[in-house]
Amino acid sequence: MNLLELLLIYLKQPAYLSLTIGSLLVAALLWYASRNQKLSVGTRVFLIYAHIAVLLVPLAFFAYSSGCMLPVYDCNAKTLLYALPFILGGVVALAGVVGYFMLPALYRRRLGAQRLQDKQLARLVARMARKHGGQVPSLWLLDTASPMAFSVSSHHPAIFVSLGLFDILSRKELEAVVLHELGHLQHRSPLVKFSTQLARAVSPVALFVPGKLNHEEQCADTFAIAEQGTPIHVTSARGKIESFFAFQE
Amino acid sequence: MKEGGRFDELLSPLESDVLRVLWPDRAMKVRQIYDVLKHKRKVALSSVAVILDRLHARGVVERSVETARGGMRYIYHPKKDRKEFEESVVETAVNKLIDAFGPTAVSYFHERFGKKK
Repeated sequence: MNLLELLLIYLKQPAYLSLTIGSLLVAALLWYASRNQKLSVGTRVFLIYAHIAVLLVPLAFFAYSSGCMLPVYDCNAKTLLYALPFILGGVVALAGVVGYFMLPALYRRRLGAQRLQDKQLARLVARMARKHGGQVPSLWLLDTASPMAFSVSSHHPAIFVSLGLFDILSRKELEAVVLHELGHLQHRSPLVKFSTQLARAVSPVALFVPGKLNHEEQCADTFAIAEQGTPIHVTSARGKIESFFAFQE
Repeated sequence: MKEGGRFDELLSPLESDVLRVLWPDRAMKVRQIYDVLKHKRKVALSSVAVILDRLHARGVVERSVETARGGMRYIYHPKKDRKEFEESVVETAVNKLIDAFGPTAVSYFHERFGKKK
């Protein structure tokens, strides 16, 4: 008996079918609610992980009901089925925990980032982070001419900027980019982004229900504009970065 | 190839212009090249950065990182001077013709350049 046959037998039972449909609907609702920008970051991240947990419920029922149907001597298949929800739940939980603690280090290794030796920028970031009561992020430099910057929320938050930014941006524009990333960290939006990506990797519902992260970008821009007292540098930096990628194409 | 001419077959007009700025000075920052070019043609700083990155990826220019008071910058310098670059272009073209046409190309070159002597 293969997995598809077991699934069809499982879904033919009205109780399990309604449980599966109900779980999918609840998961979709939780995912949709997690897109609500008005909720706090903590609530949104909780909703994203609750969405994954709800999806595991019908999977657990399927595993146990199908495991019972298998003959006693089919020990390996039975064990695998029983273990399936725990394995998937464990993988997601582990990815979440490892991601939170290890993501900056993983990015540093993967992209070959080096500590940014720019005292002016480091002072600005430290001053602004303390002003807003946040943790001071470490600054890292990426050896690429592509102008890019991103931040990673973690127990040790980090901001990554590429050398290409230094080539095409003025000092004020560069500060605007770094403040934009600091704005992301203040709003903890990298945590929402990471959780969203993790959910999209394991949940079919998250793939089909769209969700945009434009609001996070706007919040980060607002933060940088408020700190610089003018939108000029944020706008001109964005224009230069966009024209780089437009010309590259 | 005439002195001051373009390498339109191999490089885009902007790539050619960037190299012509870079050859005499040997090592320049993106902004320095842009400052020279903007007086000669309509160009954006980001376009110059893209062109230099492209030339670097193709092995035409090399780059190093300079740390100064104003921050960090890439310093670009041509791998070969103009004459060496032209020679390598000719060599590549000749090799391609020999690969494609074999003995025909060799006998043609022999005939053509033999006559000149």
